[in-house]
Amino acid sequence: MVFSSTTFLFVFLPVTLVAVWLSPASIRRFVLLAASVCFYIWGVQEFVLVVIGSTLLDWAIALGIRRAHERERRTLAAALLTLGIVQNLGLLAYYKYAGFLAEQIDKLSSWLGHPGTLTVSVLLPIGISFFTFEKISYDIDVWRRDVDPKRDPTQVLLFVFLFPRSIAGPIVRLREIQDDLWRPTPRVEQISDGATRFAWGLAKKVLVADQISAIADSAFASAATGTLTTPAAWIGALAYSLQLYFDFSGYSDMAIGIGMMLGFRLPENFNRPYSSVSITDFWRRWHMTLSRWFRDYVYISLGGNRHGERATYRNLIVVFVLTGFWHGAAWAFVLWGLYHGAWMLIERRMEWRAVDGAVRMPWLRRATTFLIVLLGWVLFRAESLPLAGRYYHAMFVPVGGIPETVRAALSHQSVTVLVLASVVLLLPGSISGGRWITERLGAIPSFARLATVGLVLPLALVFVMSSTFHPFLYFQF
Amino acid sequence: MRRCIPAAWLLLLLLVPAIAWVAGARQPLLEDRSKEPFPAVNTASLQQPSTFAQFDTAFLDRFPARDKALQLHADIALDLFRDSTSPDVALGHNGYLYYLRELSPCTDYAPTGDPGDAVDVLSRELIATGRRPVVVLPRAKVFVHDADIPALDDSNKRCDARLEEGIEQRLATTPGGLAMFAQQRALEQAGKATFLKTDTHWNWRGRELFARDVLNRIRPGLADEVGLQVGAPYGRDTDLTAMLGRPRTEEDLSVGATRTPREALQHVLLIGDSQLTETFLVPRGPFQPIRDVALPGSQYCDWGTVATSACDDAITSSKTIVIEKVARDMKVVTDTCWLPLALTAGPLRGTPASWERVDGGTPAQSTSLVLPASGEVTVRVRSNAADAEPTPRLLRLPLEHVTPAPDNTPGAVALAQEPQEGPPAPCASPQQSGNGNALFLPVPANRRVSDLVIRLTGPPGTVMGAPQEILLDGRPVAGDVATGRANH
Repeated sequence: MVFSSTTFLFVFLPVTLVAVWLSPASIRRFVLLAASVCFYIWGVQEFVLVVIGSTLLDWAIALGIRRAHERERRTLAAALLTLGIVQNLGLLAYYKYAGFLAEQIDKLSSWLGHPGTLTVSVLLPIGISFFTFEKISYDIDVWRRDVDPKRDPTQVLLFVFLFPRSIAGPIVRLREIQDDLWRPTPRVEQISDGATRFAWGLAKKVLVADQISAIADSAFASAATGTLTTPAAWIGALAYSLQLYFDFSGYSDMAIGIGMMLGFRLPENFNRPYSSVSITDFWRRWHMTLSRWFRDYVYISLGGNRHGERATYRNLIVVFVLTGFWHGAAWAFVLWGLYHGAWMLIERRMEWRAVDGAVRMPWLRRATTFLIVLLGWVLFRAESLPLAGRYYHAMFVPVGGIPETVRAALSHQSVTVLVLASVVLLLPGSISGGRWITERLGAIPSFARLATVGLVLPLALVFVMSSTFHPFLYFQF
Repeated sequence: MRRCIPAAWLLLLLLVPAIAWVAGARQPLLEDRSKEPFPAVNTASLQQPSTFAQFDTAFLDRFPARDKALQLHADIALDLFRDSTSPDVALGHNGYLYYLRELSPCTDYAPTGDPGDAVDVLSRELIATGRRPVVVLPRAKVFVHDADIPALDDSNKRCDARLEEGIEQRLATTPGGLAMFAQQRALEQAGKATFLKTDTHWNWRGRELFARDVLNRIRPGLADEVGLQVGAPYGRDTDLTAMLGRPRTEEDLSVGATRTPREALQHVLLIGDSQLTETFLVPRGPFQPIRDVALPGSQYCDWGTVATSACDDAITSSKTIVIEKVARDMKVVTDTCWLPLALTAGPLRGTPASWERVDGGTPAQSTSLVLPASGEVTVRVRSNAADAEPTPRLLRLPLEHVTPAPDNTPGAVALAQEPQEGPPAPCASPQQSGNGNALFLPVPANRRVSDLVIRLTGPPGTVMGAPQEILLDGRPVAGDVATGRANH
């Protein structure tokens, strides 16, 4: 179930909100857990049993780690931690990467002259990349004694299943919401802010991202058929960059908003990433909870920057290759991760790692960073190296005109939204006002908040309800 | 209290549809399909992803406020941005709407073979059997009323224009063909539109022209005889506005007949698409449907019933057949025309020809053909006349004896075309069964018979008799047709 579906918006969400608000505090977490499991079943059906089993194993492992700590049995604690990590990564490896691995083995054996027929087809359960990382963070945090393991398994289950962020983040650590897990207590102010945040996120997703998606889709479709031109390629790449931000950050806003309405404060995931003045800065603003996870659990575990320049570079590359691979089981994602890792190394080497606005020529830095990110998104969206190659060719080898498919996608509405979104997102926050609107809700005068919820929300809902209208004149004969 | 307003507003918006539904509000049917039923809920169904997708669709189909949402969305897109809400509908000038699927023959709905040949062969074959055909493939709105057309994909438009022009030219020269485009264009150029602004169909002017032409083709003077006339205005719910999610009514005039014909018309069959049904079958204003008044006792089949053989009896018993299909659906004509041809061509006989094996089998040339143990032969027909002629021909490929299947059910012989040059011949029988029946392979005008290589597949031992060649020169084949082309 996605947040912008009618079933979620008009059935699941209101029923869940009312049920949680009306239920006594002592049973609220059970109500929320039941709702979250239902939400997850909607997308993955019986796979939910695997997640429940794996989560209960994490719960037991965490208790075991603490007991080992108490008895000062470090080896046992480390072994249990290893078991926890392996079982989680094993799940991820099987469900997300088995098909990719089989394909590579098949290609390799064909290359060696032994063509095989090794195919593995595993359905990817929605959200597995997110909750696997959360479960690993729980095991590691308990091992590091950063958090106490929960005796009550329902709290751990709720931590993993909590529906606002179970399928697309933000990636939460237990210690961030552990106080709310036992007895979620939504307060009026929190509910009100959450409703506004949710409305804002829905509007970003439905009124902006969905409106410009056709431009990006048509550009990449043209690249696939070899008809893409240079102007269309750049327009498509810009559209995709904006679509991705408004889609993902909108989803995060909705998750945070729903969390607030249920009594949880989820971490922020975006901070005007396209205003970044360097790639280092970008990764502190884009999908912040993922960057933080890799920093805390991979980069630092590998030694971070404590063992000299070469080790630091190696660690950075490892982190970014893994970041790419986490996004998808394809070489294009690995290359995308390497691309960002390489820029991080260059910035570190050249001392260009500015992470705030206090740099010379900030406009040029922002524009350059955005250009680097935009070029990377082409690789990310193409998902295959040949298609990415065709797209880059169209971007850099001038061919005039706009293909008909792209022209059809450039409706007045989508172009207006694209221009407005560019202005809001690409200008510095202090000028565009976007930061003021999205990040300082508490400071917004109440009438502005009411206007957001009062006007934007119904408009977004209208667009949701119309999105699946597919009439046709005649049954094809 | 003011702090509660955002949350209360959110909840209200999310709950209003549910409350409305409980109060009895229901969504009207918005799309041309029946509403999706809610899925059965049981252990097995809950393990299927399709169950949840079905629930989503079923829920949305019953969502009480959806029509209002669609209207509002369409208002924003059309009035604020002047954008179409449907990829299939283009906004033209002066309030005109155009259906872009009209250009589909050059994209995803390409005809099989030459549609001009198809209408030519079918019409001439019906005449040969003694029937009176009226074959019309009206051209699309984008070509007839092009004064208000927006910028469209020129390559598609040019390509489809070529196809439709080809059909129109053939209809103008084919006996039994009805070419309307020139008259429509003349009216359009005089500022008299023949199409509704916001619909894919003709307005009263287009319908009157069509009805008059068809009636007069069925019997000269019939249109005046039945008092065909234009009547009172009525409000027409238009299809293109519905596709945009903003249903509207457009004013139009009714067209009807006032008298039954003096002399009864026997065995008239109408096979048609929506232009035909809108003109002849739908009552408008004060008039009864034109068919009921002007063509009492006539039968109607849509193309779906033709394809499923539900119209076979009506076709075989007909004396006059009106065939209409909008030109953009020319693929339907090329895919289906074999059926009326095969149903009516049975009694036709022609000049004997011979078989020539092209698969290396023996004998290389003969007047009869026996399917070998493999059950498959690749052959061509050798004409005793010229290999190519300016007049279309019909090859009759008789099934003298078809070996029954092992379970004693009648065997069947299938025909697949492997033309040496050019497209497959139109309206060829794909399959036939039963001793004494025949497969038919038309030879369009100026096509070489020798190019039309065919692969016959059937039970081994099946005997095909000598092929016969029937000249389709636009005249009925008279009397005993057993002696073929000399008997016209």
